[in-house]
Amino acid sequence: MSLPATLRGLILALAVAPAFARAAPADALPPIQFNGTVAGDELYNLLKADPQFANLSKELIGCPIVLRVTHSFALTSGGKASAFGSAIWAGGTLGLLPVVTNNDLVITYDLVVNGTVLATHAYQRNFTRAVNIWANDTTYGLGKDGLAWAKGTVAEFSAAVANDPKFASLAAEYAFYFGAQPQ
Amino acid sequence: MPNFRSWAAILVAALLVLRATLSPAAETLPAGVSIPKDLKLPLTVAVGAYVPSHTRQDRFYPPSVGYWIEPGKAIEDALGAVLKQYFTQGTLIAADNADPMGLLLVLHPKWQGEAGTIRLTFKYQVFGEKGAVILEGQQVFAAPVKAMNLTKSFYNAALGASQLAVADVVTKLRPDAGKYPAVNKLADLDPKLIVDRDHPVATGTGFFINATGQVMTAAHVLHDCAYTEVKRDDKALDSRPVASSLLLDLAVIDTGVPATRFLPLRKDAELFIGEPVANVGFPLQPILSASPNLTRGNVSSRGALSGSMGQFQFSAPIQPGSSGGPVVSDGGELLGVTVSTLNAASLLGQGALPQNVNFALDARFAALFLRRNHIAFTEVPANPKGDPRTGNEAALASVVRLSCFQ
Repeated sequence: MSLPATLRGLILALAVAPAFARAAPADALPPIQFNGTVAGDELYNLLKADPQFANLSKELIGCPIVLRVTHSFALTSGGKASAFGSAIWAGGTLGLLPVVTNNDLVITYDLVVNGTVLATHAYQRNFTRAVNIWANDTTYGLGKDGLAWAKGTVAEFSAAVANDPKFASLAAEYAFYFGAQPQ
Repeated sequence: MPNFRSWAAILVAALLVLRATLSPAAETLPAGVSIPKDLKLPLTVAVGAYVPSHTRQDRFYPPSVGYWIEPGKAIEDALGAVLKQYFTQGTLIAADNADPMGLLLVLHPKWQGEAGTIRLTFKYQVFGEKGAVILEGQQVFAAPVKAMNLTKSFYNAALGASQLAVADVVTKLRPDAGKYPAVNKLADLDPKLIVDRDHPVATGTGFFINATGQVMTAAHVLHDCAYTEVKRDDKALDSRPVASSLLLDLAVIDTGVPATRFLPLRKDAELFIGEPVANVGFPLQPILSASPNLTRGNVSSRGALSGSMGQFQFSAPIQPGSSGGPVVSDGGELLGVTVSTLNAASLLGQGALPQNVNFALDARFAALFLRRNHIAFTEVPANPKGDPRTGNEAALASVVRLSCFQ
C-alpha cells in the first residue's frame, strides 16, 4: 500500500521541520554576545529577529565578538536653556510643572572583537521631553518617542550591517578558523 | 506668590547657571592670551596634529550617571575646532598618516582632576622638514567641573589647552605655506620621535617563532602601537608588524634580527588534560624587575569560557603583562599563547574566588594563522620523554619583553 505523493511529502515535511526550524540561516553572522546599556531586552529581541543576528546571545560570556549597544545624550544650547529654566519652575512648584529637556539622543552600536572596536554605527536624533519628576519612567529615561526611535535604529543598523565589509570580513575569517556557523 | 525681587533673583540665577553651562567658542582665547594682530586667520599652512589613539579613545561609563563620559572625544572635538579656526588645513592624523603637511604637531595630553576643576596638560612638539623639532612646549588649562555635564567640562578643558598650545605655535612660528610647504609626512618620521617613551601604553610578552627573528604575541598587546619595542635581555630591538588577527587575539612582528632559539609548535597540537606546562612572561612591569617570570601548572581543560573559540584552560599563574607569553610542554613544544584570565573581581561579588583559571589560544589555531599569513614555523611531534627542565629552558630561551608606545 502506498500513500499519495502529496501526503508523503506532507508527512516528510512535518518530520524534518523541527530540525530546520532551529537552524541559523546561511548568511547569519558568527555567534555574538549582546551587551546593552539601555532597553536591553527590547533591542535584543528586535536584533534577534533579524536572520543576520540569529546567533546573537546574552549568555556567551567568553565570546570573542561582542555587539555593544550604548546610549548617550548630547545637550543642545537650546536644551540647556529650557532645562535650567524649567528646572527652576519645576522646583518652585514642588514638581507640579514638568522639567522640559532638549537633548540629542545618540544610540551607538559597536562591534567589539576581543576588546577592540572593529566597527561603529551611531544614530542621533533630537528630542524635547516634558518630564514630571514624580512620574514612574518606564522608558529608561529616553521618553516614549525616544524609546520608539531607539527601537527603530535596529532596522537601520541591520541594513547597515548587511553592507558593512568589516562584518563580512569578520564572518569570513571566523569561517576560516572555526568552520561553518552552529546550526 | 513670589514678589518682584524673588522673580528677579530666579531670573539672575537662571542666567548665571546658563552662562556657566555654555561653552566658549573655538575662536575665543582664554583670558590673558592673545596672538599678534597682524596674523590673519586662518593661516595658509597645512598642519597635521597627532594625539595618541589611546587618549582619543578614552571614555568611561559611570553607572550613576547612566551614559558615557568621553574625554577622548572632547580632545578630538576641541582640538579639531581650534585647528580649523587657525589653519586653512588643520586635521587630526594617525601615526601612519602619509598626507604631506607643512607642520606636524605632536601633542601628549594628561588629565588631572583637582579642587573642583578638570585640568588638561598638553605637552607638544612641532616637527618641520626632515623630522627636525622646531618648537616644543607645554600648556595647561583647568575648567570648572559641571556635575550636570561632565563631558562638557572635559571639552572646555580641552578647548582651553588646545587654544593655548596652538596660539603658542602660531605666535612663535608665524607659519604660512611659503615658510612651511606641505612636504612632511608623519609616516616618514621615526616613530620613536613622536611617542612618549617614558610611559608605555601597554607591556606584554612575546616569543620567537622562527629563526628569522619573527615574534608571536597576543594582538591586544600591540593594539594601536605607534612603536613596539622588543627587549631581549637588555638589548632593545625595533620591530614592524607582519600579521594580526583580532578574532584570534594573535599577532606576529618582525625584529629583522636572527634568533638562535625559537619555539616549535607541537604537531597537531594534541593536548593532554593534566599535562604539566610552563608559562613565561614579563608581568607587572615596571613593578617587577625586567627578568622573565616562569610559572608552572597543568592543562586544566580543553575548553575555556562559554562561547570562547579556540582556547584551552591552564593553571600556571599569570598576571597583567603575561599576555602573549608561551604555554610550553615539558617536551619544549608550544601548546598555546596566553591571552586572558578569569576576572576574579567580577566573581567575588557572587561569593566565588576563582584561582588560576587562565586561558591560552590553542597552538592549532596559531598554526592556521601562520600558514594563512605565509609565516615560517616548525612543528615537532610530542616529546614524551621531556622533563620540566627541558620545557622551562625552551620557554625561557625564546621569550622577549614587549612595550607598546603611542
